[in-house]
Amino acid sequence: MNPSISRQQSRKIFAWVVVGCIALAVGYTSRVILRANASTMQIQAGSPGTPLPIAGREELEAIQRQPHVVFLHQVEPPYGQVILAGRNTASSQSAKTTLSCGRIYYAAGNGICLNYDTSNSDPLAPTQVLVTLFGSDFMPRYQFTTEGILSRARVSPDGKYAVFTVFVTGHSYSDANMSTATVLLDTATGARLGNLEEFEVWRDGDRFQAPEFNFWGVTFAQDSNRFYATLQNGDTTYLVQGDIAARKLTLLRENVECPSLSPDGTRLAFKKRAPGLVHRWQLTVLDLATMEEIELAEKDGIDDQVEWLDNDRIVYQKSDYDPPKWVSVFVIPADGSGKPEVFIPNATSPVVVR
Amino acid sequence: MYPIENSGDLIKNKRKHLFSRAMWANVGSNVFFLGLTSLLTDISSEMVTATLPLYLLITLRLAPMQFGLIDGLNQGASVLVRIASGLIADRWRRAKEVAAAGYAFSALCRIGLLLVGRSWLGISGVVLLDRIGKGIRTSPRDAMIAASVPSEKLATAFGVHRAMDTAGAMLGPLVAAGLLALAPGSYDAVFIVSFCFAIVGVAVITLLVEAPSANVSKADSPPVTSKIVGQLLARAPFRALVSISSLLALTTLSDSFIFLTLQRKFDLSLSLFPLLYVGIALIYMLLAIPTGRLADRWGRRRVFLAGYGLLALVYGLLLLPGLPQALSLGVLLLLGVYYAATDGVLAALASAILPEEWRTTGLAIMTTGTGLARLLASLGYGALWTYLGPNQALSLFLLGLSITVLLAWVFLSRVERKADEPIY
Repeated sequence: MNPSISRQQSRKIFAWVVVGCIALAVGYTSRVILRANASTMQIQAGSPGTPLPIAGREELEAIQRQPHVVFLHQVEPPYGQVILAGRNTASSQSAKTTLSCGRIYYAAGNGICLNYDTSNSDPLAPTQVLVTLFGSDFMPRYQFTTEGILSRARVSPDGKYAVFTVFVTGHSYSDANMSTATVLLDTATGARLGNLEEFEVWRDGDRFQAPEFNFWGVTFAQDSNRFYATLQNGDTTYLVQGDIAARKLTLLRENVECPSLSPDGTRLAFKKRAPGLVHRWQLTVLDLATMEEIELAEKDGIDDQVEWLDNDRIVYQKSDYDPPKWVSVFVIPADGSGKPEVFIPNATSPVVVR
Repeated sequence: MYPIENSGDLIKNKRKHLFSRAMWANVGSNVFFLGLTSLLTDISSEMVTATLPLYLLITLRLAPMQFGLIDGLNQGASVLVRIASGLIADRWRRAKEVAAAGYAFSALCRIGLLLVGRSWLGISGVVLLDRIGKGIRTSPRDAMIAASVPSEKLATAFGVHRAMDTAGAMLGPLVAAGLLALAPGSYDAVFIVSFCFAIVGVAVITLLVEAPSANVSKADSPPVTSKIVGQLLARAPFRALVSISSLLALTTLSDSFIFLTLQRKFDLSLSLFPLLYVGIALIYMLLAIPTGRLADRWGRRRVFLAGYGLLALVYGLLLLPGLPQALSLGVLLLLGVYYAATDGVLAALASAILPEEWRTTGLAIMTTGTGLARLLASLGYGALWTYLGPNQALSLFLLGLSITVLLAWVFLSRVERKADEPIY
């Protein structure tokens, strides 16, 4: 104890510190509770802007007859409403559906939508992801919840399989590291066909085993049986090629995350972990014939599983963390030329329907 | 002599005495206040640990993957500052000030989280600073606990401290949950209240904890320099304890690995994981003081090595085929007892053999050794699992741990025999 302060004095100071801290804690918490009540009232009073009306069946079908894109609307709350729009965005029609998602994919009349289950009110319980399988009417067909944080979703080109990736908290051996679950579904029955962790992994002709594998970012080949995905073991990520019928995965290459196969099946666009302390991913295209990599002209770090607009351009979501339009879909040439341009403002999770 | 003015004073003093005996397991108010500081600081830090991932995800909309990978770096930074803080605390006899600075450092990080907003570098930086604060305060605080009690009560004192520390770690997430239930999504309120708990913790250590008076006068002791690390390790009893505790740590599986094995073996739901932690913490909290007392009476070395014997038993149970699911509760119980019998008792073992003027540095050396060994154990276990398979990896760890416990017993007895006096 500081000899210049008596025991009695320090107890007095201590009492004042405690009173001050209690006042700060109680005062701040009450302010926050009042603020929370005020903001719920505001939302109930109605949100600004003129929302797009929900489309009827005919409207949806009219758009579905032409080349179109599906994306999530992020202009104002409620965020994540699913929109269909003609491929040439600016001029053509668009239609809003009743579906709301955090991540979406759609192909051959079958879709998968990941969203948070908001009926769960316990703030410290693990978040529940609501997985919805839907058809061409964009109405839920099968629904179930799974614990975690939503990440990626894909549907095979024939519409038979859907696959999603969630982060599962507390699943991993390294505490601070969250781990993933990537689950394959049958779109016709909604049945769970298995977690990729149940597949056999092979490396150079031998079985490859480890305490824990993490998988994410599945992309399907045209035959809908073969697929590519990312496998993580320890600090290393690998590109794996999978075979659904054989329930087998083969390691191909290191440092490839969230691959996306081009429509002609010749190239994979992916995010490549750039060296450095802080995580940053460089959008890169891998030529599967020559195994050559081309860095795309996007200089910002991108954390997304990209989508091919056609064989020459890719689209992806990028956030600028600027609240009024915090995330938009961008387009960029797949050969390393050009520069990123906004494709759909205030939108996420672009899907190009072929 | 102390003349008694009136009978009222006599009764008051007596009551005070009884109160202190019952409440503080007879280890004195200083240990209680140091425990209180840890309790408040753990409430503060666990409030943030429990809610930070959700805050990043829901309020800042940042991907969770990016978060965990900086963790290794943080652990490393915490190890580096440990020895430095030990040397500073010993050199200037300022254990209390150094520990208080470490606590204050972490308290400021709570406000920092609100100030850095969405910046990744900022968030990582704040988490790193928090870890550095923890690295700074741990050894001087343990040295103060040791200096606050007579040597025959060391393990009890550490038991009291660890029980309070664990209680804080269990209360933190509950406080955060309560706040978020009152005002959903108000992570700023969680951080502010967490800051308040941390500040009261700093106030307890600066205003209520008394800096233990050194038994050695400044003139008698040689100046403390970085050479001390070598000189301390040249002492046979301390070197033996550091080697043995590090070797034991090298064959210790992290909780997460044990839970992962438990989960696969008994096919437990993943949502049970937080409950497993709470279960172990609860047993640890309840048993920390009784095992500390037992260690002080029956022998610290005995209790410490018996604790590791229980850990070996856990490995053995996990290897046995066809166990009933109810036995996973037994594994939890054993793990809780293992913690209670080893963590605080090791600090007591080390404190008892370290000279008071170098105690903080000595404790820092020991925790650095065990910390690094634990990191190596995790890496090694992962590699063994990959190349040999899960059962083989666990069998090797069981073999290694059993041999180390036996060796430790023989080795520590020999050091004691050579010195010709009870040491451990």
